[in-house]
Amino acid sequence: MNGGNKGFTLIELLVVAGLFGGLITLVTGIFIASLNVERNILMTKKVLGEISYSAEYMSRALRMAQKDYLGLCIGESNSYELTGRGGLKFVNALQDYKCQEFYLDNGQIKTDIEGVVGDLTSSGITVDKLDFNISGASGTSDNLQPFVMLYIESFAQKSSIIKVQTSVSQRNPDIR
Amino acid sequence: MKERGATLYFAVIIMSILMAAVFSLSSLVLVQIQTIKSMGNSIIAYYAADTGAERVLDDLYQSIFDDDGEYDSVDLDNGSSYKVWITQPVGGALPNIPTSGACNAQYYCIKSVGTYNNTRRAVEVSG
Repeated sequence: MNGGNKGFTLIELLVVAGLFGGLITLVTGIFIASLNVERNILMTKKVLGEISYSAEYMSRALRMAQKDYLGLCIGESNSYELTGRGGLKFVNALQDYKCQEFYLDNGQIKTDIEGVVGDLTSSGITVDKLDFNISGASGTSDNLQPFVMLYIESFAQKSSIIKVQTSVSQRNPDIR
Repeated sequence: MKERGATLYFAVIIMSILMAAVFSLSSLVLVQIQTIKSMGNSIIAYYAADTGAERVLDDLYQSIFDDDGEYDSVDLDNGSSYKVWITQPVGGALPNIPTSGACNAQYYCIKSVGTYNNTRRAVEVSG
């Protein structure tokens, strides 16, 4: 060839190819890892969105619960009642005083308004736990304002588990 | 000899470009992770604060008045906690509750702060 360009030795080429290969592997690894992280972030966002929506929906409905004077939905003069499937039943003033229930079914939070069933969370996320703890919700003699503690535990594939806990009291005065 | 030197420069430039791409990508992902974490913490902290406000409203409803207007911090099962302060306007009629000129309400002002993983959210209720 012309001038001082004599090409490269095998060792030089091997060293360069090795360095380059290592670098490319590193870059690709980081890229794939970040794609996975991105996917987890999207799933976590989905869980957060759905859980905060259902918590908001449920607390609004629970605030507007009405004492069941006639005993057609739950026990007479009760405000909230736990149901056999771990749900919570009450008369909702926002739904024309219809009987409404929130419960967990197959990892989804569902609402049942006199037979009309709706989903509060999609099948894309799994709700592990939906616990209700009620106090002061039975009769009139306890002299307490009805109070519901709400606990939701949820996750989606590869996302982190989100645990939300809040408490809601009935707005409609129960006593006095 | 000049051309062999140029190869080294090319190699350095290409490697720097690759490294820069990787670092910017990872910093973007890190920012996203931070954002989503604080978003999740924020939702949990908000509901804890809401719980605090509900508890104190319930106390008021049952005529339970705190001594100094500052409730002890309460830990919830999910790892969040809330702390509540209550004040009443100057000349208010509630026993024990401290008065505050900053309280522009008829009877009481409640401030509840929910905390989860160093993220704090506050809720104010007055009535």
